[in-house]
Amino acid sequence: MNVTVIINQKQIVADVDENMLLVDFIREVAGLKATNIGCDTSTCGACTVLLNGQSVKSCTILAVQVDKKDIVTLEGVSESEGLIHPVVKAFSQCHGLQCGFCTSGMVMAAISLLSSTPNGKILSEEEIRQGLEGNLCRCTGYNNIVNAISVAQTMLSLEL
Amino acid sequence: MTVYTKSKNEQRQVGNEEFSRIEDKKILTVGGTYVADLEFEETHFVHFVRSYISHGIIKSIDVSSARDMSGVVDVITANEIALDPLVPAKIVDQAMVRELLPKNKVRYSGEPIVVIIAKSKQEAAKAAELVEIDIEPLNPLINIKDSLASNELIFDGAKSNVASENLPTDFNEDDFFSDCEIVVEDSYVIPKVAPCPLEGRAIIAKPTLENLEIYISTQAPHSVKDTLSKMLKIDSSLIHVIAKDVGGGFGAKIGIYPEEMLVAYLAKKYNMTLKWVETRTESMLALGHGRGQTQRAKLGGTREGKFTHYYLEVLQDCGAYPLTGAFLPIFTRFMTSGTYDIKNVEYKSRSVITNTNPVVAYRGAGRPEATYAIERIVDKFARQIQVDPVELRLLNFIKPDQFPYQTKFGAIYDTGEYEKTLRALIEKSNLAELVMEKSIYINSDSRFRIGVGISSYVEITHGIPSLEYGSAQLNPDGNLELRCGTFSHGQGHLTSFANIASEITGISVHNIKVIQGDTDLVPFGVGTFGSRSIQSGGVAINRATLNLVEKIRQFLADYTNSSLENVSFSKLDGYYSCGSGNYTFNHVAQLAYNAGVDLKCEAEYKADAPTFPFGSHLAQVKVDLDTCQVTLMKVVTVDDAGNIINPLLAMGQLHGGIAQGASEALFEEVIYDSDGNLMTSTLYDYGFPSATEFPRFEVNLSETPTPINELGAKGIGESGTIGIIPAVANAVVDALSEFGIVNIDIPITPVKIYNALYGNKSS
Amino acid sequence: MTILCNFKYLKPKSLQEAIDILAIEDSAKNDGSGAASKKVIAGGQSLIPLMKMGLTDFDILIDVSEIPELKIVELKGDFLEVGAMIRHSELESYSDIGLKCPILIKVAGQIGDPQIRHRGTIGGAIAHGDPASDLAGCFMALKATAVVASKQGVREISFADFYEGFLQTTIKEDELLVSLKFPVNSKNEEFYKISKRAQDWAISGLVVVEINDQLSFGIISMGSKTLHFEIDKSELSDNLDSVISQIESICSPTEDIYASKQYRLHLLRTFLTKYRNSYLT
Repeated sequence: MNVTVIINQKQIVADVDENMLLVDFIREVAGLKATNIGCDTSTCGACTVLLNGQSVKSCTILAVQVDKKDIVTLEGVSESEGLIHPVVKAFSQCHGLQCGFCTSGMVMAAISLLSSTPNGKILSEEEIRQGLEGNLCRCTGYNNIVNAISVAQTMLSLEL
Repeated sequence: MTVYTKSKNEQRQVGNEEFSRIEDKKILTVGGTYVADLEFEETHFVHFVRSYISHGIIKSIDVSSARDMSGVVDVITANEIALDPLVPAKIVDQAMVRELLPKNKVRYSGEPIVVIIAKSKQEAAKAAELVEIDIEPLNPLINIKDSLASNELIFDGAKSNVASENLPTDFNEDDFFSDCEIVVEDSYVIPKVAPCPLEGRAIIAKPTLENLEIYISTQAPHSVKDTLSKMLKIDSSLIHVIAKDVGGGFGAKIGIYPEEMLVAYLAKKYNMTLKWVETRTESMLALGHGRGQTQRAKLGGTREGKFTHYYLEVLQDCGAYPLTGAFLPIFTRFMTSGTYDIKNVEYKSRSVITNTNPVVAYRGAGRPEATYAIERIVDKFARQIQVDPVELRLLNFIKPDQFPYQTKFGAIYDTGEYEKTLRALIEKSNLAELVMEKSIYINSDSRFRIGVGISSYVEITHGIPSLEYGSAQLNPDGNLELRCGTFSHGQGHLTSFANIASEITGISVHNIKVIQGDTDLVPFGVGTFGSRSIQSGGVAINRATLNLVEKIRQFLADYTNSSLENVSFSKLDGYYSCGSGNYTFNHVAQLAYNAGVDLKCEAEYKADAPTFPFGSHLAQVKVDLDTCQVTLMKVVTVDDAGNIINPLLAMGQLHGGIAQGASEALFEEVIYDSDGNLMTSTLYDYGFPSATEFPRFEVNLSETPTPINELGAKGIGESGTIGIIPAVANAVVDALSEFGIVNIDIPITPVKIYNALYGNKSS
Repeated sequence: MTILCNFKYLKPKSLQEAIDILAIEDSAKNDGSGAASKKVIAGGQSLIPLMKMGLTDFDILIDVSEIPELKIVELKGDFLEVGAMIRHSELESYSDIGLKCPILIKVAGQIGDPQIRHRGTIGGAIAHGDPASDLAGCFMALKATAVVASKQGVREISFADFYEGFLQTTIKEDELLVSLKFPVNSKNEEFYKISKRAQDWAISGLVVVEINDQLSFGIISMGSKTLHFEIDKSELSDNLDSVISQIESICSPTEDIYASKQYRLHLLRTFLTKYRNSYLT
């Protein structure tokens, strides 16, 4: 079946099997490898991307379901120098990653969390932790991930 | 030898750019390069058909319809594998060999039996559904107790189901404790856990005209090369192992597994590029599990609280094949008496084969088990004689003037300031306030209880010192290039090794390139595990870099025809001075290039002895007496791993280690049913916590340098895990002690608390 | 993990188109043999994991995400009607729901994790038929009515009759779940849930609402299907033990790796006690 998916503002047209998962579309058709697969049960969140601006698990969506929809992956918020998202910067500054396997999903989950927070509201540490309930990391103990999101939140509030 | 000198404190602050990781830029833009990300032309995919029975005799395997499927290249069973079986280590019963694919008997559910090679992942997976394997079940021996009690042998020809043992000589338990005024005893279970690196196992084997290229997710690329060379009986120079980014290992990726050996073997046999990326379910089934000890601990001493006698008895579950599981009790034995000066210590262990996934090293490997036993029983002793557990620890610690301290079992603790870290912990955590908070809950009608638990630990890092490689080279472009035989898979060595070289040369870490993980680019190496890297590879890098600075001096002396004494190097200025001339590294690089001089120094380093990091942990928990849920409220740590190279990364190691340990205490456990089916085969079923389940970990670094190496550094990768587990368990017991509860086995789940509080009676 | 089952994918743009597809009995299988089996997908957060594990197989997948009739939220007097395609995370953006039925938002806010809430729909969660579904417990307590449509017309199923067993509902093969209708005159609503981790399904859960001095309970993860129980308010305040034993008698909790039967019952007792202590004393 033919689908047109807009990934990181680039339109990708492909003929795909109906049973292809979005994560496989992103990795194999679009060739974007930052998005990883860490489990079989929609638990780990390593495959988190933005669909129409909201975090979703790309392992639990069919490629055909996102025909004509907007997808953003880590590459879309970090590759072009001028557009590096504060969350990306903060992850590096705060040592919010170790092996890096969960990182892409973690960053996208964080971006969605912060963008869905009403302007002016500052998330508490507990709220940040709750916002990450769908993403697993085995290396960092989450300390510096939470720090990074908190720092990114400050950066974003200063931008306003 | 130059002693590593620490930069000024202000420069060591977290936030200093020299500490942020070189690794991050790539991971945060296009992502790390994991094996699954690599694509080569004409790649075929491998799929393993695994045993659905934990213990049984293979009656028949029918692969004919699978072989006929479209896209299938071949379906392979044990008969088509011409590889020698894996022979166990010398200390293990020699009958316990493993065939890469079992011909006759399967020994755990998930054991690979058939290999499928197909053009796509889907075709391979579909073909797998058509493979028919008939297995006649044998009695499943799922736990240590059943395996020891059974007359059935999991390995025909073995003496018993015991793989290896450590038995005390001339030991009579009653006599041993006969002089003690106080004796406390308890039994502990440390269940098996799944290491769960977020990236599972993965390998690509690619035969080329010259050699066999292996891309693999591993902790030790050079040992992959050596093992494959031995297994495949080809010269190691014909194997090129490349490990790019690796999504975590935690001990489970030290060795190479039968699946990976088979992929390499079949790639060669079929002259075909083969790729295998395991699914999470496969990873839960067959990536080695960790821990798995049942312990009995007995501590004797005086009424005043001085420990005099300690006995630890360990039963280790090896799983179906005797891998590291057969050795873990040796590490436990090393660390039996922990931080305490106990005159008489005895130990006994047996490693037992069961019909479950083999046990391997997992963060801490044998040491968390030792720490757990002693730190739990010390708390019990304190309750028995009604002494503050902190005071009891202080009374029994090995004192600073006793170092180096040799334990009963031959460990020589290099340095230790156990009292200092515990006192620091008391202060940092405001222990007095926490105790007060606890009493407020007890004295109110609250349905919550607060508990505080302490643990002091010492552990052994770089336990079996081995030779490690490091080199430093000034490239013609003026950049410094380091090569190392260790292999960072998340730890950030590209940065911390650059920190070491930067400390010597003054060159910014961002201008230092670190090469690792490629057996053609790094002549030899051992890898990263057992908290060994900084104190082995880091020291080699330190030496190579110091030698390079000297080599450049010599080069400049020769070049300018002056005596060596006239050439000096100033790190602060960043250049060499020779007479009136100043030479920057860039300049030197150019001159050397023109002169045809290679500015490269290599160093090989083997430590004389292991090192023994130590520290103290505090955990505060809140228990809901109604829902029986435990909330980890607070974790405070004072950790001493000698000199710290990069505090940002060191704390990151502690955070991660603490999370894994705290999680073992409260959530994680591998569960098999009585037939040996794995019930925790997904990350949904397995208790791998998210950020929501943890508090912020308050980590403090203390630095007592070790004399063992010139960096003064010990290992830090595992200490967080080792120390925290008993602290959390002690905290829960503390919270519930008013109900007469003295022990709940980890993981302390709500159901266990419910059973302990309410048992069979209605609440 | 890849999906092995092959299917045809259809995305109807109207309710009529969808029920037409569902009504065609002999639409040929891919290989031309026999009648095709069909499956409806909304958010896919329960269905796709089953597909990946190979636990479901069908010939035609009908994506209902672009059917406008399934996205309505309407206040009709004392009733609120919420379309089946409303996603969990969208509920709070409707002020009618926030004002009239805050418990629904509270319950939906604790389903899975943010990613799942961004994608999962109330209709999908309900029609999946998992006894651990938080929303099913909520609609059960609210005494909702499921509105289903087929070529034969529209049919309303009282929630008490909605579930037949584990993953089984009374929606017929040619019917499509359109919306949920429920009264908005409830008060003193509460939701209790205990799960292993924040993102996990409930080990045990309870939704309680008070409607006209009656307490209505939606009981989660305490049997093979979502359970309902109703009692006079005064009974719980006066006679807790008797209410507990009445409720326990309809529960048949399972024993699994997350919890024992006894612990699940203990949690239910705890929830009831907490509710009484919070609202009835």
